[in-house]
Amino acid sequence: MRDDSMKEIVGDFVQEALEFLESLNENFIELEKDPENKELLNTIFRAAHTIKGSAGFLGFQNIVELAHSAENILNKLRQGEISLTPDMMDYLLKAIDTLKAMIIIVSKTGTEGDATSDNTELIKKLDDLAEGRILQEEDLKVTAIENSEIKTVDEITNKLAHEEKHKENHAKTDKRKVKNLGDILLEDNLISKEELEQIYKEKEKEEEEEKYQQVEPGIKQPEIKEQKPEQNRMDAPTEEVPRLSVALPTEDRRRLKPPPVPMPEVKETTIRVDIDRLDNVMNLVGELVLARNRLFNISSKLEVKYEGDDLSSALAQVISNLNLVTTDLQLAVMKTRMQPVKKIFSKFPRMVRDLSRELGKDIELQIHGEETELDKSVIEEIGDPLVHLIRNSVDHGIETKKARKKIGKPETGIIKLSAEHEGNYIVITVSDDGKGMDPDIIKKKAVEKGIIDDKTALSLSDKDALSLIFTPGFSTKDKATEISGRGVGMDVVKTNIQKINGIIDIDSQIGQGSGVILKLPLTVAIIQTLIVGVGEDIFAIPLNSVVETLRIAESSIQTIDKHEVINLRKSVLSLLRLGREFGIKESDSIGTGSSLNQEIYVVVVALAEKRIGIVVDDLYGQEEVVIKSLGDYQLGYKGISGATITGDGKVVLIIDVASMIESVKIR
Amino acid sequence: MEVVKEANNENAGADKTKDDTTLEEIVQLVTFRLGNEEFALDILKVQEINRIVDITRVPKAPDFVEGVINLRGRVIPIVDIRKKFHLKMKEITKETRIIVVNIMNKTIGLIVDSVSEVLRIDSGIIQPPPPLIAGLDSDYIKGVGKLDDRLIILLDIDKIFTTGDHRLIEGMIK
Repeated sequence: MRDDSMKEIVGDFVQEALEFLESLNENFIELEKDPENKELLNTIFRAAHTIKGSAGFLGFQNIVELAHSAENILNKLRQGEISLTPDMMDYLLKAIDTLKAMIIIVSKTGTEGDATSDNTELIKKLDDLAEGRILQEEDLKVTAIENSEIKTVDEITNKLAHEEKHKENHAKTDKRKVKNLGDILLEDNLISKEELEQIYKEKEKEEEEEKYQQVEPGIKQPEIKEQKPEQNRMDAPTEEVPRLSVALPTEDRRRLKPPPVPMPEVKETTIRVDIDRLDNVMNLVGELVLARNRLFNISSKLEVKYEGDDLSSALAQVISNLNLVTTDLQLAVMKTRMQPVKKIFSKFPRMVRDLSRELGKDIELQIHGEETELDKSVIEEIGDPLVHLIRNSVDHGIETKKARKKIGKPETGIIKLSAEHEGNYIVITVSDDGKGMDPDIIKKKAVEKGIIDDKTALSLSDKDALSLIFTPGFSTKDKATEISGRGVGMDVVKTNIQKINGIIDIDSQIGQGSGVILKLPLTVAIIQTLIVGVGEDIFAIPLNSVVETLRIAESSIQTIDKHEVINLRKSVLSLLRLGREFGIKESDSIGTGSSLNQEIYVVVVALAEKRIGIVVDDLYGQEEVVIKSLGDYQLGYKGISGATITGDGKVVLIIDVASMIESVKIR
Repeated sequence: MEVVKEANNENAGADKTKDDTTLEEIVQLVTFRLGNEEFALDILKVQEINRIVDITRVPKAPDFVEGVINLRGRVIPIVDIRKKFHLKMKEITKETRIIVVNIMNKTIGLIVDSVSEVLRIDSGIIQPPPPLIAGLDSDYIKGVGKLDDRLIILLDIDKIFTTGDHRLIEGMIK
């Protein structure tokens, strides 16, 4: 086989295996809640089996061994021979983690490497768990084989494995190879030569099949698998095979049951596309949007100039058509970049489970709206923040079982993770029914850590006090634990959410629980902006950050300690005069100070957990723009996050709301 | 739009090394005027020469940065080279041009009073810069070329924007 085609196959294996492992993680957690769910068990079993099969085909022996041991347990669970214990679950999950690590090594090096070979202990533990009832099973099996006409590879191999074990007094059942076993079977006259050959043939055929599946990257494996065993089960009624001991994987059963189930014809409906290509398409669409904006502009001018002219109205019509198509195209391209938040949500049940076990708490994670879709770039940024938020809820939020009982709450704490659409945003909420955050304690800690002084602490509102948790280095814990307490987490949340122009809101009730609300833009490359004017200059403010616009009288501005503020619905809002900040002359009529009745525009912007009002001279309206980075050039000023080209071909600078808010803080 | 040449940076780099080894080499220079002085740039650095367009001011940028313009969908900064060299200001005229140059894969526009011509001269006649030229840091000058009665100052455009207090481009210069 050529080198790069091999690489491709391994790549596909890695991708597929990782996907399976991810789904396994989810399924296991679900299974723990509902151990009797046979359907789920079967799904899990199939996933494990597929990983094992593919790994075997590619010759990753270590992976096969571990997967096999896990599969053994799963099979027994499936047969109802053993029941699931939390300990067992711990080991199974550990096995999944180890498998994941091994597969990642494979993806990096193309080989298994040496570091992965140290799984003997885990395998042994898994095997021990699987063989909790080994003796009775063996008795059962001997009689079964004697009485039964039907022999499957697995029955035989399993029996042999146990015999082997007897002989060698060795617990390792997993290293057997079908071929050698077959020979032994033959020697022991347990099987005829014809039967053995048949088995070999089937085995080869299966390997062929697997190989075929390997090189078919587009096919969604789980879907096919879903259907096959369904049919198998019908083909293989249960009474046919007496309840036996270990391993009767459905696929193996199918293998020996002629006639074979015809493969349902699967049409390829998905393709994998390199993300760079998508980004390129996105950029091109961006250019098209700009061109459309310009055409719009020119056409509307033409219509004014040559009113009623046939040509100009024809042009207008073409352009409105173009407008529709462009908008659709833009949406379509954006859609290709959308991924369900499930992608990140799915790892949290496992995380919560592990953490709560570690902490001896009883916590249920409720997930809503995991099908909500977000742009890939946004998805990439919110993974880490959510991890920290959920950890916080588990560690700080939810009380211990005892404490909860004492105050009359149910022992099981609940953490809710939800995602939903809200206009042009996606709102992700992490909330818990724990003890909530006490603003006074937070203030006290902040003073202790030297983040604020006593005076500031007194003047802080409760809401502002809660925002203190986003300060780097802040933690209410005196000692950092493995889970939290280093004061990094919330800083990560803030930085990442800011990066994608998201807004953070905290809601907390002492004793009732707390919630963090993340408001995220749907996409980042093309944004809606509010076009504002300062003097003769024009700037764009990302609409994501704009909360509202106000028209207020100069006279309502108050000053606190030289800061200009206004009172907006009972909360104090700091003002920033954009003209002054940018060193632009304000238009003559404004800012002379002579007329306090003069009305000014205030754009209230929010980012992460902060809000300020930006004072501008004019509001021109809303425009969809494509962000062009100025990052290549050291223009020396942080207040501008990028530029865009408007309908008339002019460059308009996009204001960096984050640094505006920052500069208000510094002053 | 008077497009002179699409510059090729790799070529430019190769050319530089050649300059050092073979002295008798024809170099092509774009010459332009700032006040009474005549300056020149290596043609391989020049991407195009444009008439002046609307420039968007960038708040709090270094003072020699006049702003940014839209160059066929790209946003590039425009530098007033007079300010950079601390020369007296001059109003924009019909002759005023923007020379778009490529420096380390980045594009920058330079405002100059006027563009004169493309010169083909023998590299041999370019002499090292005199230690001090009024108002101009001699670090920015590659050499001085004497041509009949003309004196042409050959600028080291890379150094202008990658060194000094107000670097416009972050990067190292060999």
